[in-house]
Amino acid sequence: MSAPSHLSHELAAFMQQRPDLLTEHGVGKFALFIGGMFKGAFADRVEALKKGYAQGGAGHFLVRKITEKDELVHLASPITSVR
Amino acid sequence: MPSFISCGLAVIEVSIGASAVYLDYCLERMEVYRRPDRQVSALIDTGADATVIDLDVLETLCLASYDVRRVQDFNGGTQEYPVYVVRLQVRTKSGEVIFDDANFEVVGAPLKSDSYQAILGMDVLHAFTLKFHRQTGFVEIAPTVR
Repeated sequence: MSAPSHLSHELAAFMQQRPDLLTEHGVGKFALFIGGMFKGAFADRVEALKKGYAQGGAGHFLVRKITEKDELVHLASPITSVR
Repeated sequence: MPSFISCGLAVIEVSIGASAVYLDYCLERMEVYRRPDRQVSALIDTGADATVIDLDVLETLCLASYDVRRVQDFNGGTQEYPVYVVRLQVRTKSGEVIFDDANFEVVGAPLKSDSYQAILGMDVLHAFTLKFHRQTGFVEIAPTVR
């Protein structure tokens, strides 16, 4: 599975602007992107989501924690097991 | 009062529904959200950083993702999956709520298991005391005593 295509513009914009976001807002804040445009950085994820729903609508915004590298989630179990 | 279940795998029941932030959004648009919460079986995975919900379950709740996360499973392979915000509740068999987060972040992935539709990671498990009885396969959960 690849990244959801409905967020491709937002994800591309985040990756492109990440160095500037790190400089201006620092690590740990939550960046909001709608339609490829940066809409703000928030201390709280839920505040960023609220703004995303209000301005972009469900499924039309990206909220991503500002970090130097993408976070990797580890699982000890399989994602896809045999039915 | 501790709780619960299982048949070999460490599995408990959890409730998944729309997040508070999404319900507020529906309310502001004067829309009524009619999807009932889903009760699903969840595998306890102490080696998981995050909680994963089967994509079919998230689809029945009509939720939209707002981010993606790269996930490495036990095979070592990595893949990107969408991220959602949900309400996640865990109760003991007696009905005591031991975890309730109205805006909880989860990863959506195709789990394709007959035994469970979710994987509970340490982001949830920190709230419990767990006892796994190897001979009977029963898992007991109780609130963590602080």
